[in-house]
Amino acid sequence: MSRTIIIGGGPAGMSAAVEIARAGGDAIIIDSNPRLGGQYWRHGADAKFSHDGERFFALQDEISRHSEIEVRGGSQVWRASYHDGVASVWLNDGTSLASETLLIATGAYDRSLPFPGWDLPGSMTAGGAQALLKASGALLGRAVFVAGTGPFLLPVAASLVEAGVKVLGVLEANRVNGWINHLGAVDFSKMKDAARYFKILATAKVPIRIGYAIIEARGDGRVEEVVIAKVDRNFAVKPGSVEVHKCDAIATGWGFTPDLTLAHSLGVTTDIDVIDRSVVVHVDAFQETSQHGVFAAGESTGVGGVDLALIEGRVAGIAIAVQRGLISTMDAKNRSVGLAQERSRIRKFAQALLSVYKIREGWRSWLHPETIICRCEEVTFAQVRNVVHDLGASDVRTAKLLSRCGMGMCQGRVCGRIVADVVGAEIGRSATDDELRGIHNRPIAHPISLATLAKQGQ
Amino acid sequence: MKTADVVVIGAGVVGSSCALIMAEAGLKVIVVDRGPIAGGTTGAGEGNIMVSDKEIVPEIELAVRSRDAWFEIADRIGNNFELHAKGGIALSRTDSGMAGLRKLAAHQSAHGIETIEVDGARLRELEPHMNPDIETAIHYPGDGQCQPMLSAAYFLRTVRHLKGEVWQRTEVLGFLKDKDGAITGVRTAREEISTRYVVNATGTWAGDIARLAGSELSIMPRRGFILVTTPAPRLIHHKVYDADYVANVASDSPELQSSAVVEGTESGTILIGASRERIGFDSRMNMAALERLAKQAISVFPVLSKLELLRVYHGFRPYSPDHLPVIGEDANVKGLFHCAGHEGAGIGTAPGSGELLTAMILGKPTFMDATPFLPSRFQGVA
Ligand SMILES: Cc1cc2nc3c(=O)[nH]c(=O)nc-3n(C[C@H](O)[C@H](O)[C@H](O)COP(=O)(O)OP(=O)(O)OC[C@H]3O[C@@H](n4cnc5c(N)ncnc54)[C@H](O)[C@@H]3O)c2cc1C
Ligand SMILES: Cc1cc2nc3c(=O)[nH]c(=O)nc-3n(C[C@H](O)[C@H](O)[C@H](O)COP(=O)(O)OP(=O)(O)OC[C@H]3O[C@@H](n4cnc5c(N)ncnc54)[C@H](O)[C@@H]3O)c2cc1C
Repeated sequence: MSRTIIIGGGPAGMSAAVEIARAGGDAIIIDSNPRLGGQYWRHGADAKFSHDGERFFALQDEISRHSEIEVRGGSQVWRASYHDGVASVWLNDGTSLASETLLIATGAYDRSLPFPGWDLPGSMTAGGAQALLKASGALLGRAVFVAGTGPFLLPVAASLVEAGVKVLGVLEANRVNGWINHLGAVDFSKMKDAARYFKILATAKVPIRIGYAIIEARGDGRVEEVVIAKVDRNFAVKPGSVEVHKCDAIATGWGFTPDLTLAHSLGVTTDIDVIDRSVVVHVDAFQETSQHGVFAAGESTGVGGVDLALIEGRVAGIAIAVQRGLISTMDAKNRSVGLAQERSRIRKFAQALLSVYKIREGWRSWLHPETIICRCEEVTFAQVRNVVHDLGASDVRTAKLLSRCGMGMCQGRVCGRIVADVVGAEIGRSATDDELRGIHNRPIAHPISLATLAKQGQ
Repeated sequence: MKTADVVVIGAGVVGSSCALIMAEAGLKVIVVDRGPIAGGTTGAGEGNIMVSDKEIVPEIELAVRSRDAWFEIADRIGNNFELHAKGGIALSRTDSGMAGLRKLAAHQSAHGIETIEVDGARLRELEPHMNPDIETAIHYPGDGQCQPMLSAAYFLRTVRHLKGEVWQRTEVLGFLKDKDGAITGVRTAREEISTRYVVNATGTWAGDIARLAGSELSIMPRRGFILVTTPAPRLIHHKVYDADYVANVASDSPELQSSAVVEGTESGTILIGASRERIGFDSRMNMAALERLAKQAISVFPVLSKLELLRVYHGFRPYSPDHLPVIGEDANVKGLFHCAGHEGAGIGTAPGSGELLTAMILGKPTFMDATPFLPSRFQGVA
């Protein structure tokens, strides 16, 4: 049996690798980032963490102690396929690998909502802002608003403050009361996290405004001011609540979209989350997908935070060890004590969070006709409406092909869900499950050099 | 019951061209498609309006008239579909290949296609990034380009403005006939339509409709992959292809064939097409096809090695046993007209096909002798 292929070196991939190694197995972790850690432990070469570095170093040390685990950083999987019980992946260096066991630990990316001016330089996603800080320590602006919904706005705002950025406000669009309770319900360590974020924000006198949203950004060539409004429970703007503020950057975050591109190529069964309708990999109690030997862990099975990713990774690693015949099921049971219980507890909590921080339909009322929907191809809201109402596009795919929405560089990663929701609303129905799945249908998961492609197979 | 002068089955580029031309001729048209508009092969084509790859006289006549008709339609309804005369370049790096191209060009120019043999210096003017080892080629100023899905959509929009109707997501379930077996109506999932004329423009699936009407027609799928690169500033100005491409079209071998056809698009991406495989409706990716296309394209334009592959798509070209389209009335079912099987040329030759069909239905003279396209060439008359 070939060594296990782990795609993604975030918390899920790392913890799976450790379990496989402990069972005496070998594996290769592939990540497009040069360093392990994923989204949560994204860091620069200096490996400085504002918090929670201990868990990262423990995992990394154990991985580096096991020579059977190869870490191939800076290497991207651009294509995957599954055939007769064997999963194959193709890397952007022109090589390919195949194995009977593979773990999808590809995480999630930021979910965005469009609003007038979101395409201006100086406007970025919360995750993008965080990554920029972590990777290079770069300052994105001097006076910044953080807005959107979800518990991750807090750590983002806090790390901006710590990096010396003036945060003018944190705007949470949903009517959440007692943010700290939501964060704290995970476990005690989270409670401490939340308290720490609040303390940082309070000390810096950052206003936290609940039920507010950025509905527009303006500026000549880059963000110079934002329009902020109070929104109702459905995210529609409350009349008379509009304020304009000067600033030089904004970071907006609307939760996450699990990255199912490779999962889709591997042909695994997916589910549609009942709360936010995101597409997630369907897994059994052992984190195995519908394809024998293909496992999934972390955000790809549903957004649940770092602790859930770590547990799912462990469960998957142990199950892979059993499937490879490295350990007995009895042994696996001993290694898994408490994991299933902990996993279901956090999953339940994650679902609760998802329903509190749900994106409400009223956001579409922020759009102007000239608001860009697809940034890569610069397609406006009016153009999307036009292909539906004037040209007769009656589904998401046709609307995309006629308007070029989602056809550009990002291949719909940023706007795929937006287009599905906007087109659905214009047609007068919700996006269908298959249309939502279609967002992840990218046989070429990431652009690959033609020269490399031409050399493949020689 | 609904009534129409003509029911067109299929909202691809061929069906929408037929519908447009018939609606403009004053007929009341209803277009019925089981899917969305342009959701079939038209949504997977490249949009070349080529005269340069045509060899057989009827094909040349159809392609030349269609090319002109494309520009006339754009004048009538507005050019909202990126139509432009981009021109093609056919090249070969072997003496025998060039000899073949010259012979074809002579034949084509005798039938109204403009062909110009160009030397290396002129070639570099036309295509600055072309591999310097290519020293001569044939330039076809008459080749055009459009965006096929937009074309179909705008044709159908005009049909609606001319009081026609477009029924999407409506399956055709069967046909109504009189005691002599002539068509009197169409049964659809929505409602029945009373009509004397049905146009079967269902491309790769045209055989199914023929069978549903009690006849037969052999149209088969031929898979093609197209590579789309990341957007780049204009590097390639024409549709550039090597001589093998022309050879491949007529070839009868089922295994993978490919030869690079490279072109830039308005959105900045570069399209590299297209492989040809006869393996039924198989949607799995064929790595060998992708590698080969990339390799061939780089050999013509070395600069492409610096670009990245962004996306791949594939489609199934509808082909008939003799690789010519099937245009005309069914030999067995009166009132059923086929317009299908355009293989790798359905975008380019759609308007001419629509004109032929409209003339046939109205009993008017056709712009060319359409006998080579009649379905009766395959159908035993019952
Ligand atoms: C701004 C921000 C703040 C957050 N704050 C918190 C917090 O305070 N508490 C908390 O619990 N969680 C937080 N999270 C969420 C946390 O980051 C995730 O829950 C966790 O990282 C999920 O782990 P994972 O292993 O599933 O995926 P990830 O950590 O996302 O790792 C996936 C990895 O896969 C790699 N990858 C994907 N596709 C490919 C490919 N094709 N080829 C090669 N490599 C690939 C990626 O490069 C990435 O490194 C935050 C996230 C963000 C963005
Ligand atoms: C990779 C590739 C590249 C190509 N490049 C070019 C090119 O550059 N230039 C060119 O001229 N041609 C090109 N072609 C060929 C061209 O795309 C086709 O010839 C053309 O699109 C055929 O159009 P059509 O309208 O006949 O079929 P389609 O577009 O397939 O339309 C048929 C329609 O019929 C509908 N239908 C089927 N069955 C039923 C039913 N039972 N009831 C109701 N509706 C039904 C379908 O839903 C579909 O919408 C290419 C093809 C491929 C695959």
